[in-house]
Formats: sequence, structure tokens, C-alpha cells
Amino acid sequence: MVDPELNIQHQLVLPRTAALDTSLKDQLFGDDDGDIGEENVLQQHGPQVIHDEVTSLFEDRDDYTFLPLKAEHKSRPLYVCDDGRIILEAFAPNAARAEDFLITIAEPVSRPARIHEYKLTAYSLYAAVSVGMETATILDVMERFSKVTIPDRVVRFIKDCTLSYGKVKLVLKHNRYFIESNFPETLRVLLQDDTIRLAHLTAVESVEKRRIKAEERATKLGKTLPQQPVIASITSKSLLEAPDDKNNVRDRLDQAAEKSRLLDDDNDDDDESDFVQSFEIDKPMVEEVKKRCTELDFPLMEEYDFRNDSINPDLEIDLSPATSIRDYQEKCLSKMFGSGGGRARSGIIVLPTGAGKTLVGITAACTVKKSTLVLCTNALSVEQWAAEFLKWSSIKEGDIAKFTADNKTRFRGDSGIVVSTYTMISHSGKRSWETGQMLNWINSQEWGLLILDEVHVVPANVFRRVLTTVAAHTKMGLTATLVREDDKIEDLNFLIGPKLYEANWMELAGRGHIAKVEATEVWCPMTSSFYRTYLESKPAKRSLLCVMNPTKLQACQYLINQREAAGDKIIVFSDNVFALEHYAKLLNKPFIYGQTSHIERTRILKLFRQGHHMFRTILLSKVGDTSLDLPEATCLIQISSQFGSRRQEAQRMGRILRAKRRNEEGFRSRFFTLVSRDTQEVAFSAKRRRFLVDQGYEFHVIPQLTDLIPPNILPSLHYNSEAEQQELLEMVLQASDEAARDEILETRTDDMAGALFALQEEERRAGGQLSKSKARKVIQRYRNEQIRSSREASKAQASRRHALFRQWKRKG
Amino acid sequence: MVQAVRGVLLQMDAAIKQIILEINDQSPQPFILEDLDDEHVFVQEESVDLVRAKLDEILEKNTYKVDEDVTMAKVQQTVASPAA
Amino acid sequence: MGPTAAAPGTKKAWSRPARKAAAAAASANTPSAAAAAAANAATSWNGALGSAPDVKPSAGATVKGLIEDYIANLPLAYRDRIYQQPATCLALFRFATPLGKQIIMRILYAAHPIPLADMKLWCTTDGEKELIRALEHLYRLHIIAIPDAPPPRPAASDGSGPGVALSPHFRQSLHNALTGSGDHASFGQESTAPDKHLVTQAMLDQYATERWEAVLHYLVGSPSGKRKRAVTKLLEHSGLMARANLTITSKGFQFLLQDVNVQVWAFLLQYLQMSDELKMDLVEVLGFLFQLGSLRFGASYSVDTLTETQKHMLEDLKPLGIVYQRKKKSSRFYPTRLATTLTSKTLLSSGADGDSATGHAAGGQSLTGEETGFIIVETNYRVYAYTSSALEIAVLSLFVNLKARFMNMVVGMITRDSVREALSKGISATQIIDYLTSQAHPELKKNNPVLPATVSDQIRLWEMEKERITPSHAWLYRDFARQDDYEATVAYAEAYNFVLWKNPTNRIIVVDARGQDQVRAYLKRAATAHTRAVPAGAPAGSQPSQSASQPPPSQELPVHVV
Repeated sequence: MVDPELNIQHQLVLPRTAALDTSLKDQLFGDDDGDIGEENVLQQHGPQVIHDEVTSLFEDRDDYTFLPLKAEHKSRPLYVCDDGRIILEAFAPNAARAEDFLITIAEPVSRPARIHEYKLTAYSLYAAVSVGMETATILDVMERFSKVTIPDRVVRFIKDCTLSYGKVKLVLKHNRYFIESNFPETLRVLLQDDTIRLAHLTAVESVEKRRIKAEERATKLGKTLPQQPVIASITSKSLLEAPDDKNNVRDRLDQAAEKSRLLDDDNDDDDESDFVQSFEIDKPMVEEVKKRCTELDFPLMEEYDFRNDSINPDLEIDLSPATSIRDYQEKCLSKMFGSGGGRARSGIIVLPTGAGKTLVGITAACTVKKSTLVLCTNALSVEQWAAEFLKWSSIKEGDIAKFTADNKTRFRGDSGIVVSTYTMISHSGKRSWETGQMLNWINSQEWGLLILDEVHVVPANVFRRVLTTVAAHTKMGLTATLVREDDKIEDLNFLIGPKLYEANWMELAGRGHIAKVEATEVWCPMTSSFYRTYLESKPAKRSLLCVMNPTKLQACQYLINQREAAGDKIIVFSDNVFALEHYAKLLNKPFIYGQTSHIERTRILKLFRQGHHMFRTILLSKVGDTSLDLPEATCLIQISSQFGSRRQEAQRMGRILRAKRRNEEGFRSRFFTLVSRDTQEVAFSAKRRRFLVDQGYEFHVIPQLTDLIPPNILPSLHYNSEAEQQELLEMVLQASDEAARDEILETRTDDMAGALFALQEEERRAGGQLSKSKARKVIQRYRNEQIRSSREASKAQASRRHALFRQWKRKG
Repeated sequence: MVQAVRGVLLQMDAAIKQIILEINDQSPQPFILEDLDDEHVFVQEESVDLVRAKLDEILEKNTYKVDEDVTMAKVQQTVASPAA
Repeated sequence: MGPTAAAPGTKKAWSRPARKAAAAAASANTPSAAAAAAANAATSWNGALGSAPDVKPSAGATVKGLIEDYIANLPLAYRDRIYQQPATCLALFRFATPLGKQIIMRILYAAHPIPLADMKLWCTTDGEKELIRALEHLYRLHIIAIPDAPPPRPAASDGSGPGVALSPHFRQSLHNALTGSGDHASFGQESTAPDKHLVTQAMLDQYATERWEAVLHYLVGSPSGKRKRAVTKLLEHSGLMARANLTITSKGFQFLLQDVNVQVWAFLLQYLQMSDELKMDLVEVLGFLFQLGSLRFGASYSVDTLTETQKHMLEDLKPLGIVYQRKKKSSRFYPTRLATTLTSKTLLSSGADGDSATGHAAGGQSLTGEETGFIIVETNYRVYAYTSSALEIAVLSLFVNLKARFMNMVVGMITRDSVREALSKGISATQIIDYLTSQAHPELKKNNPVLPATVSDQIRLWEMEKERITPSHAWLYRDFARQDDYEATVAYAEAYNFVLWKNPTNRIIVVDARGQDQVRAYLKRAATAHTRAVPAGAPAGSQPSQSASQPPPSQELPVHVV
């Protein structure tokens, strides 16, 4: 099938006197797509590829043979593709410098041991510009490192992206947003856009709005507020009215410049031009405006000149002297604060879990020295962040406040730190009066720094709410992976800012900052009855069958025994709660899932951290991915790989990267994925691994159970007999789909951790160890207590539900 | 009288055997001459190539074709409730 | 001493009928079979192709091996004639091991056959074994002969006994070759007048490379323009390409990995086989090949001194790039390097630039034998190959999903699909892994193992995926009337390792097809014996009821064959 486009190109190459098929003319020029013209030109002087026997192999692929190879190509480390992809020989002598350069201007795609791939994107170039790289520099350095002549298309792309970036800034002043630029032309272009014009607040409107708001607040708080100084929106009107009369404009601009210099505090005087102009936009429309500016190719740079911010109160905070920053952490911060350390840029920092993201956030706060708001995904993280702040910095207890469901304090002074969760800030439903007060207070502050933890997990709509209600000069997103299966990465880019830095996993591992990992996939054959059932079942049941595969249980049991004996601390992950409970009960190990009480969670994790011999292995559901303050582990076993989530895989890997033993000679953390052979788990697992494989991780495969478990060991494991297996299958079949997902079949009455604590408590009281019989009594007493209270609780719940139901029924 | 049957002995692991049985059930001309045990069947000589091809097809379907709807649904679930 | 003079005229004495008779008289196989055998040896290096996991691609096959095998399998009469060609003998002499060369030289000018015992005095006691081995080898090739006596045996004890001498034709020819006497034409007649159309060595190299690579390209499946019918026929005949759909076979892939010289000879031997069918004088053909091997590269030779057969051969050899002749009617021809290195031990050189394709073929070898590996395989399955050789790229495309190409590099990825495609063509996982290993970039070669273990493991796993069922041709026996019968049969079959599967509970036994005849015979015997032992009036059992007075059951099988 001939591509009609190609036909057109072909026509154009014909001499003028040749008869052009006029019917194609409309296709050429009738379209609104102005790009066609340009492409035609390219085709005419089209790229000349090598023509030989294998050219046909690359017809639908990328044939870059038209790029001339430079004479000195052997001493250069880069290939640059026509589509912005860059290939780097990491083993070349000057590779390190090239790498530094590339990570600044491009996205890493894959970075295994020898050959890396990167990609130039608009965002990556934007990030480059925002850390101060200039177009000329980028092109020059790239040319110097490249083996091939840089393709024209790439040069144009770089120019297009970088020349328009950095021209416009979004500035937050006194809780008001301004679009600021040294280039009046640019501002004019922006204001001509409908969306932006809508958002634009004239001076009058602005004053009015603020007055109304201030009054509202005043009445609510029962206070009167001092008059806010009125800062006129400068020159916007004059810009709009100015005709092409250059002289006139010039004059007016000069006048405006004078005015602005007098009134404008945040003067940007590093650039050539002397004047700065801006116009205000309405706070609720900030996101719209940002998006629109990006679309117009003028992405807004958000910079905060914190040193010269005399309006917002300073915060006394420094890093404690004992704290040391690692070089890659410094690199992150240098991207954020620039070489002069004068302004703070907003953006996202990507570091593998366990590499010390928290410390980067804390250091940033110590640099900005203004009020800082930290948002986490759950209450436990809040505790953790607060604790870390206290540990690594000089902040005093009264100056740091936690805002959670249980805690609604404020910091005592004019400035301080608040740590909260996304849900608290963005929750739109009914809330208590206290919470409402707290929120108002937060939203009325002008935060110097907003730290957004675990940015990859939070849905975009939650962010939106947060960012439209909270006013922050600098936003710092922290994450381990920028990969999301729902592809909402771009949203983050313009909601928070460009990616400032992404660490190289292998490099960090090589230098001992994170543990080296031995990753293995174990294939567990399905027994014939399980497999027969699998073939006949629907998808939901299939997943359950895959997880409950008896050989998988055996493999898990064997691995746990083995690794415990080797001194490992093991976490077993299961997305499926039914399986989680079954495995845990069978292997007599503690487990935590969504319904596990806060107290029990804390206890179990504490014992795990302490290394108690009964708590060397714990089983976790999805909660382990985010909601838990997990201590380091050295071994991780995944028993269900249900979806192809690369982020989840990377995150789980992170649980074993912090291992303290990582600097021991030859130490490896272990990562096991148990997969049921010949089922869809194989495909899911392959999908999940992609991100990690591109970071350089290698996954070994053990294809036969017999390669893993010595035959003499098998009899000692569960489910060795067909009868047992059959029983298991029946149990699985009986489990309803609901049960398989969320509920558990029996209530938990053997809270191991709780019992242990009760025992320890008793022993403390008694002043020594108890006899076996006494110990048993204590544990039994505790258990009975648990049963009783749980029964009461479920009764209460039942009646409550009943009442609600009654209520609804009435409503009809 | 002792019966002698000519054919091909197929050896495989238990899971595969289940598939073979299914292929046999769905085949217009069943080819299994004798079902021996969990890991062996005795089949007609001419059927071996067909069995291989069909087996490949089914394995491909059940192992490598993941249910994309399931994936996306689960992803939405995860994303929607971060604090689950 | 009077060796039979190998006068040129002698050839004519060997008319076709006479030759055929001689051939019939010889107990050895026909030449075509010999050629086939040798050709097979050329293309199936270890018999079990690809199944021996530790075999390196170029192991086993050498030019020397090919040629010697071929000659050894020729009927005696042919061999005699071949040894009348000085070029041939010289070539074989060159191929001989140092010890072999010594033996030949020592007995070349000996007056009488030398007794074995004397020979033994030449070497130490340790060396005796080697001596005997060398002698046996030379005997196999009939370079040496022992008049009226069986081949020398190590046990040949005393000082006396039969002596060893060079076979007469060989001796004369070698003498001629070494002294430059005899028929000059056997080494080719160099053209005296310079060529009007300048032909440089570089041109010849390029010509040869293009031609030969075109052949290989055709093999790989990326045809470059028209090719001669003869070439395609050769490719199919040799089993390097599947006749049905003209795709490369596993043998073909293996072939690609050989040294160029080995490849060329494999082709030529196949050609020899076909030439017999085409009624060309085998001896002439072979002789001419050896002759070509002795020519000087860069020189042109006269066509006039060639026989008709040899002229025909020129036509056939041109598309393979072995010789160059400007036009069919040209009076001169040029041997290319492919020709002049036919009988040499050194390999073809690569071009000056290590990246270029000249003489590279698919083997990546250079004249100095240094490493020119060019492929990097990463842990994330991406492949980066530094090459501009279309052939190398084509080979990679057989099992790698190629994505991008630069002037001196291609980028691709090893995927499940790309490997499966190769597997379905018959290329094995081992072959793929061996190829990638042998062509690995020096950076990669620093590792041990060279390829990332996960990648090579995965390739093997993908192969295993296709081998989920193991079929064995077999016979299944059931309906044994009595347990003892059953058990006895099992015992019998087990003794020969014929039992593939058994189940005493339902008395079924599956026997390997190899053992079918034996087991059937056994059952027959057993049944007959059993019948004889059964008294009259015994219950029917599996026998049709007969009274004792009836004649014993017929010799028909007691086994009901389904």
C-alpha cells in the first residue's frame, strides 16, 4: 500500500514542467496543518541513506545512515538520532562528563552497564534551561561529544525549545501570582491568548478581589486585618493597547520600567534587559494558565528569590553539624538552587528509595529558611518526616507541627514547618471545625517551600486541589520512580515543575549508597488440577489460583527457611489478601493488611526492626507499598504479580535497598518473584521488570522447582501430598470473588505481636522472666481479651450499619 | 491376547498434559490412544505436529496475552486509594 | 627407479568407459558419494548439529580436513590420476603435519621402500605412537603405499617386513613440483602481455567479496540482485537452505560462521558432486581447483592452456568470486584471493579498515587473527553492533529485532519474538549464543561469561518453551492375560533399555520403536512356548479354544497389532 504522503513528496521532486496531479494540491495546501510544507522541503533534499542489501530491513525503522560520521568518531561517546534519542557509550573515556551533560538535558531511558540511552524531550530541555543552560552551550557541547553530525531536526528542536523557555516566570508575591518577563513581546503574545486573558486580573479587579477576601477572613477570624499594600498591575493595559508604533511603545515601556523598579521587590537584574514587567493572574486559574503557557511554548519557570524575600518571615533552621550530604544529594540540590544558590527552582527529584530523599528535602528547607509545608501519603510518613527533621536539623519541637486526623497543632511562631498528608489538605468533604480552621490557616500562609513526598503515587486530581489551595513559592517533588502506568507524568511536569535530577541506580549501588541486589524469578509449576481449573476459570479466579498454587507455597516456605537461616530480614508481599492470610497462617508468620489496627502494625514492625527471632519474616499487603514506615529488610519475596505495574516493582525493590549491611563485602539484598508457570503471571512479571531492567538490574530465572528445592527437602514442606493440594484447591474454589479480594474469612484472634508485648509487659512488672505455665496464662488472657473486644466491636459496627441502613431506607 | 499399538509416547509436565487433554477433547478427531499418567500420553503418530502447533497457540494465549482490562482496572484502583 | 611417467597423454587413456569400469571395480563409493560425504562433512561439523552445547562454531571443520576427507574417500583409480597433478600433490604436502612432511621428504628420494622398523629408529619411544598415526594417515590418503601388504600395524615387530614408500604417482608429481620440472601447464600459464584493461588487486578483492557475499546474502535471505541458477541449486543441494521456502536452515546458519576458506571449499565439494552428474571429469575438476590454489594473486593466466572442462569451470567459478574474467571470450583470467588461498593455511585478510566488509564475510576474522568482535549485548536485551557490513547486519536480523542503523552501528533488541522466529527456522539457542559470544565486542570480552548470563539463559528458556513435549516413536502393549507374562516381557525389554514407560497395575508397557522387532519376536517365542506348555482342555485364555489334537497354532503372531 503506497502512502499517499509519499506520493506527494515524489511529485514535488519532479521538474516544474511536469504535470502535477492537481487533485493532490488540496491535500498539500488545504490542510490547516502547516507542517506539511516544511516536511516537503525536507524530503526534497531528503536524507540520503546508504543503499545496500539490508536497507529494506530499516524501511519502517530508523535509518540514520544519512548522518555523516565524523573523522574523530572513535574518540567521541555519543550517537544522536534524528528523533532526539541519544546513545552513549558508557565505557568511553570521556563518558562521565558526557553523562553529566546528558542527564541535565535529556531523559534517561535505559542505563545498564555499557550503553545508555537518553531522549531529548521538551520537558528535559526545559529542565536544562531552568538550571541555567543556554541554547548555545547545549548545542556546542553536544556537537563536541557526538560521533555524528547532529541532525538538523534535532538542532531545530533544541533551539525551538530552549529559546522560548526561560523567558517567562511565574512569581508568587504576597499570595498573589504574577507572570513576569524581561521580554515584553512575550507578555504581549501571552495576553493575546484567550485563556490567559480570562485569568488576567487588572489592577482594579485585583484590589477588589483581595479586599473582599480579606474582609471574609477578617469576619471569620473575628479580627481586623491591616490594609494590604496595593501593588498595581503594571503595564498590562498599555501593552495590549500599544500598536506597532515602536517608539511609542518604547517610551511607555521605559516609564513602566521606572514604575516597576520602584514598586517591584523581586527585581531580576542578572539579565541584559533592565526592566521587568508582569501582570497578575487569578489564583484559581493558575494551573490553567500554566498549561496554556506550555502549549504556547512559553513554559513558566518558577523561581523563588528567597534571600531577597523580606516580606515572608525567616525560619531559623540549619542542618545539624553531624549531618553529612552525599555527593549525589548535593547534585540534586545544586540543580534546585543553581550554582549561585540564590534562587530556588521548582521541580521533581528522582532518587531510588533508600537513597535519602528525606534528607534532600530537609536540606532544601534549611537553605530556603522560610516556612515549609511537607505533604506525605499517610500518617506514619508524617511521623517519620517530623522525626527526621528533628534529627537532622536544628529545628525546635515547637516550630514543627503535624497536621493529621489525630493532631491539629500549629507552629508557635510566625514561621515554621507543618507536616501533613495529601488527603488532609485536599479532602473536600465534610470536616470538623478544627480541621477547617487549620486548613484556612495553611491556605492563608505563603509557604517558602512545599515538599511533595512520593509524588508518583498521588493521583493528579489530588495534586490539583492541593496546588490550587496552597500558595507556595517553591515546590519540590520527591519520588523514586517517575513511571506511572496511567501515563500522567506530563501532568506532574507542569503541576510541579520539570525533573531536576534523576539518579543512576547502578551508580549509586556501585558506590554503596544503596544495596546491590540479586533479583530472581522462580517459576512454580501449576499442579495439574490447579492448572486445569485455571484454564477453565475467569480472570478474577485465575489470579487467585495463580497465587494459591501449592508449589508456590512450597517455594515460599523453602525460601523463607533458607533466608532466615542466612540471617535475612524478610518481607513477603501479596496484593491479594486472601492469599496473604493463608500464607501467613500456614507459615506461622505475622501479617499486616489494610484492616490491621495501627497499634498492631506498630508492634509488628517494631519487633521486625529489633530482629526478634519470631519476627524475622513479615507478610504485607499493598499497605506495605505506601502506608508503612518500613524498616530495612534484606530479602523481599513477591508472591503475586498481578498487574504489570513497573512503579510497584521499583518501589518494592526499594524496600531492600536501604539495608545497612550493604557495604559489607559481597553483600547482596535479595529480591524474589514467585511466578506460576504457564500462566499470565509470566507476562505480568515480564512487564513489571522493564523499569528495573532499564536501570541495569538483571533478573535470573529459575525455571524448575527442582533447581531450587533439593528433593530431600520436599517432603518436609507443606502441600507435598496430593490430598493436601486437593484440599487447597477446594478451598480456593469456594472462596468468593469478594472474599478473595478484600475480606478475610476468619477474624484474627492470635495477634502475635500483641501477645508478645503483653508478655513483656508482665515480665517487666514481675521483674524477671516468667515460668512457661505463667507465660502461657498471660498470653491466653490477652487472647481472650482480644476476642471479647473484637466481638464487641463487630457488634457495635453491625448495629451502626443497621442504623445507617435504616436511615437510608427512610430517605428512599 | 496381547495388543500392540503403534504410536508416539509424549512426555511432558503435568500442566501441559492438561492442555493436551483439552486439545484432544476439542479436536474433531481425538488422537489420544491411551492416557498413561500425569506426565505421559500415547498418541497417534500423525497427530504430533498438530498437537505441537496447538499447544504453542494455547500456551501463547494463556501465558503471554495478559488481560489488559484487568491491568487497567487494578491500576485505577491502586491510584484511587493510596492510603488503603 | 622409474616412476611411472605421468605424461600428459596418459589422461586420454582414461576414457569414460574405462573409468567407469575402474570405478565399478573399486570397492569404495562412487566419487559423487565421496563428494557427498565430504560435502556433508563440510556442512555438518559434528554430525549432531547444534545439540552439543560446548561446540564452538568453527570447531572441527578445516580446509585441510575437508580436502583430506574427500580424497581419502575417493576410489583408488581416481586418486592415482589426481596424484598425477603436481599442484595437487604439492597442496597435500603443504597440508601435511610437520611429521607427515618429514616422512614424505625422507622417503621421497629413497631408493627402496623403508622397513617400518627402520622408521621407528627415527624417533624416540614416546614418539612412536605419533609416527604410526602419521603413517596411517598418509596411508589413508594413499600418499604412501606398502606394496603387497596390509597397512602398517603397531605390532609389526621385527626389523624385516614390508617397507614403506611413496605411491609412485605422488612421488613423481611431488618431485616435479619441487624441482619445477615436468609439465609446466599444471601450474598455470601466466599471461605474458599486460592487460589492456587494468585490473588491480583491490579490484579483484572487491569483486571476490561482492560475489561471495552475494552468495551468503542469498543464504541469509537478503538477495542482492540476480543470482545464478547454479548457485541457488548448490545452496539447496547442500542443505544450507530449505528447499521448500528458501529460508536458511540451522546448517546454513552454522555454515555462515565458518571461515571463508572452509565455506568456499564446502561449496566446491558440493560442486564436485554435481559436476559428476554433469558429466565433467572429476579428476580434471579437482585438479584444476588445486591448480588455482597454486596461482599467484595479482597475476593473470592464459585461458588457452585450459581444457574444455576447465574453461567450463571458469564460467561456474566466476559467480562465486573465485576467478575473474572480464568477458567470456577473454583470453586471460585472474584468480582472486579466494582462489589463491584455496590451499593455503592462512585466512583471507580483511580490508584495511577494521569496520569494512572486505573479506569479512560473517566470520569477523582478520589476517592477523586478532579480535574484531563488534557486538555488545546489554543486560536489558538491547544489542549494539558496530558494523557497516550488510552481511553481518543481515545475519543479526535473523534473531535480533533491529531498530536503528547508523553508518557504523546498528541498534536492536533481542525479544521473545525475534528469537522464536530464528528457532522456527531451525537455528538453535546454542548457535545464537555462540555467534554472539564469538563476535562479542572487546568491551564485552572482558567479562566472564562474555554475554550477560540472564540473556543467554533467557534465550535458552525461550527455546525450552518450544520443547514442552518430548515425543518418542513407540509401541504400546496391553491386555496381558497374566502378570507373569507381563513381568517377563518387561524384564526382557528392560534388559535392552527399550522400556519407555510401564505400569504394572494395569499391565501396560510402552516400548521404544527401535526395539519393536525384538520385543515382538520375543512375545512370539514366549507365546509359542506358552502354548506348547498349555495342556489340552485348559481354559481358553487369550487363545482361541482348540483341542490338543488340533495342529499347534500357526506361526502367525500371537500379538494383535492395532
